[in-house]
Amino acid sequence: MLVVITLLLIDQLVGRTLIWINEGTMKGDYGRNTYIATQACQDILIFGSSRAIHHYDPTLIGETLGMTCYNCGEDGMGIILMYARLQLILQRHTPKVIIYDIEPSYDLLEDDNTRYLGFLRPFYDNDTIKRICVDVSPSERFKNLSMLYRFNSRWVDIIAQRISRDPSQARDYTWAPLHGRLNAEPSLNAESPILNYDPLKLKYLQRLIECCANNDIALYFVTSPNFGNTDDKVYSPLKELAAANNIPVLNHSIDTTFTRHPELFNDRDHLNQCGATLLTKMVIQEINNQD
Amino acid sequence: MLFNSFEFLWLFPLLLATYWLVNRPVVRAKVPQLPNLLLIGISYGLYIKWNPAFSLLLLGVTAVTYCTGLALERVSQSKKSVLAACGIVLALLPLTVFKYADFILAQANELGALFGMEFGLPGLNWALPLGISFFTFQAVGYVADVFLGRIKAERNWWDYMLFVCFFPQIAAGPIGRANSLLPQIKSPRLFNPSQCSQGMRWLLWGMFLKVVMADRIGLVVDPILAQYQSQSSALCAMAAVLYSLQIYGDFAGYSFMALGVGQLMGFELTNNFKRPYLSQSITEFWHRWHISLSTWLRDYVYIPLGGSRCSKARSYLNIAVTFLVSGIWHGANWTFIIWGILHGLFQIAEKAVGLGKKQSRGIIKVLRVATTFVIVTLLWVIFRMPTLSDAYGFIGHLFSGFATSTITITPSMKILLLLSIVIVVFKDLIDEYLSQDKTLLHNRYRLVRFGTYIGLTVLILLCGVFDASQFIYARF
Repeated sequence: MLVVITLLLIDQLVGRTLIWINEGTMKGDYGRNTYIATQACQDILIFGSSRAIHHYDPTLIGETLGMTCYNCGEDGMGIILMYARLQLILQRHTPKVIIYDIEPSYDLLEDDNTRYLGFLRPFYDNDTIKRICVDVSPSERFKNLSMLYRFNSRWVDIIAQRISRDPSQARDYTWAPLHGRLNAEPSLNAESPILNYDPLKLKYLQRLIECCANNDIALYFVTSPNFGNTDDKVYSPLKELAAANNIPVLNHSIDTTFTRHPELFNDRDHLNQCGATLLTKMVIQEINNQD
Repeated sequence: MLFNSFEFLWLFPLLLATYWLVNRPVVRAKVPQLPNLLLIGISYGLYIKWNPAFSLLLLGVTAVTYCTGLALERVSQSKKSVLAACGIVLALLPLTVFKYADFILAQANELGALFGMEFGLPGLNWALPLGISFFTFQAVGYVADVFLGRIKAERNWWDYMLFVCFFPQIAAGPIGRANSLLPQIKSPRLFNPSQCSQGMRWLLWGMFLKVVMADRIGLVVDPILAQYQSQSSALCAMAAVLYSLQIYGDFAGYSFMALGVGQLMGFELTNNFKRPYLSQSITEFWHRWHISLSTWLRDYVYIPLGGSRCSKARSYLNIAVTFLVSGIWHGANWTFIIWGILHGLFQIAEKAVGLGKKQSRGIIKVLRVATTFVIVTLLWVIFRMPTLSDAYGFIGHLFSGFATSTITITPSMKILLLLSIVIVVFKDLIDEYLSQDKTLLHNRYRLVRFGTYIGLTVLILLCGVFDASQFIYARF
C-alpha cells in the first residue's frame, strides 16, 4: 500500500513538474507545440505534416496576402493533431485562412492513430483534447490518469528543449526549408498499393471542414508534389470530400512543374528551398485567384 | 492477450480475482475441478479470441497426445514404440504443415530446378498458429515421458487439457514439463502472499525488459537492419549489439511475465533465463538462455541419441544434431538452420578444447564473457536477417569500413536507450555476483526494494513503448 501511495504521489508530482517545464519550453518542437496551443493568433495558419513545415514560407504568404501567418505543420503528423490544434487555437482566436497540406499517409490512410496523440497528451486536462484522445482510443481515458504517461517518451526532449541555448531552436521558427538536391531520375510509378482509407481520419477531415464553415474560416487543401509522381488516385476521398463541401483542392501532387525536376526536391517527398518557394508562390497565386 | 497490452492491465486483475474466488476451499469442496475449468475457459477463450479455427488445432494436439498417453499404458511392450512414434508424428503434423510445408515445397522446387525439372509446387502461405511450437513440444514431451516410463499417463482429461493450454505459457513458453506442471495442476493451489509478491516482481521486471528496453531498441534496430547497405559499419555494429539486447529483453521479458502470472495463480513455471550474456562459453550460454527448450532438447533429443556417454565423435555428432533440431524448431528458414548448426559447432569446439564447462576467473573470465557475447551477437545476425545472403551481406558490411549513414539516432532516443540498457546490465551484474538479499528486487532493506519497484514503474510509464507489439518468440 505504501508503494502504491508513494507511486501515486510521484506520478502527480513529476507529472505536474513536467507540465510546468513543458509550458515554459521556448525551443524546438515542444516550444512550438505549447505556443500553438496557448498563444498563436495569426490570420493564416498552415497545417499538415513535414511537407507543411518544409514547403510553405509563412513570411512570404503573410506579406503577399497582407495578413499574419504561422506554420503549424509537424513532422510525421496529420489531421488528428491538426484538428486538435485548431480546436485549441479557436478557444482564444479565430483565424481567417487555413492552408492544409494533405499527406496521404497521415491524413487519409490507415495506421495506428494513437501515434498522433503524443503532442496532445500534455494538454489532456483540456476537455476538447480529452474528447479527441478518447475518440481515437477509449483506453486513453484510463492511461491518462497517470500524469507520467502523458509525457511518455517525450520528457527527455521537453527537458532538453527547455534548457537548450541553441538559438536555431527558437519556437517562432515557422518554416524549415530543406537545402539538399535530389540525385535521381523520375521512375515509372510502381504498382499501385492497396489503399486502405482510415474512416477516423476522414471523419476528422470532415470535422475540420465543418469547423471552418462554422467559424467562417477559408479552408484550402493543397497536395504537395512527389518527385516522379504521375498518379493522384490516392487523393480520391479528399477530392470527393472537398467537392461535396465546396472546398478548393490545390492539387500539385502530379504537377509536372515539379515532378520532373530533381533540382526542386530534397528527397522524393520533400521540396528543397527552391521548390518550396516556388510552391508557396503558386499557392498564393491560386488563393488570390480563388478569391 | 499480450502481457504488454492495455487489455492485460485491466483484464488480468479481474481474471485473477475470479480465479482466487473460485479457488476458495469452500468452493473447491463442492466443485474441485472449478479452478482448473476456469483456467481452461480463460486459456481457450483467449486463444479463440485470437483465432477460433486454430483453437481446434490446439484441441487436436491435446486429444492426440492424451489418447496416446493412455494407450501407451494399455498396449504390450513390443507395440509401445510404434504407438509412441505414431502419436508423436500425429502431434507434430500440424506444426510440420503450418510451419515447414512452405519451406519444404520451396526446397523441392529448387531441387527440381537443379535437375531441370519444373515441379511448380505452390506454397500454402498459411498463418502460423500462435505458440504452436511451444504447445506441440510440451505435448510431445509428455508422450515421450509416458513412453519412457518417467511418468504415468494422465487420466483426467481436464487436467491434461490445462497442461497443454495454460495461457501464461502458450504464446512463447516456457515449455512446461509434465512431471513438474501436472502435479501442480492436480493439487489445490493455496493463496500464498509471498509467492504473489514474487510474481509481481517477475511481472514488473519482465515488463521493464520488454517495453522499456526491447521495444525501444526495436524502434532503432529495425530500420537499420532493413536498410543496412546505406548505414555505416559502426552503426551496423551497434545495431547488431542492440539486437542481442532486444531479443534478450523481449524473450526474457515475456518469460519473466509468464513466470509472474503463473506465480500469481499459484503455479511455479520453469525460469527460462539466467543472465545468458554473462556466460563464459556458448555451452554455458545454452544453460542460461531459453532453459526450457535447452533441457527439452537435452532430454528428448541429445540423451536418446546417446548424449556424452559414447565415443567422442558420436558425442560431437549428437550435439550437432541437437542444435540442428534447435535451429529447425526456431523457424523454416536456412538462417535458423545455419544459426543452430553454428551454435552446435561452437559447442563441439569448446568441448574439444575443454572450455565448455570450465569456469575462469579474473581478466580471463571477462575476456571469455566478452568473446562469448561477440560470437552470440554475430550468430543473432544470421538469426535475425530474412535470408542467408542478407546475413552474409550484413556481416560483410560490418567489416567494410563504410562511413556514412542515412539514419541518425536522435539524442533523446540515445538517452532513453542508454538508460534502459544501463539499468538492465546493472541489475544483471548485481543478481549474478551478489547474494540475493543484496539484489535490487529482493534487497533486505525495504527502502531499496520499494525504491526499485517505484523506480521501475516510473520508468515504465515515462520510457515504455506502449504499442502492444508482439513478442519476437511468439512468431516461433
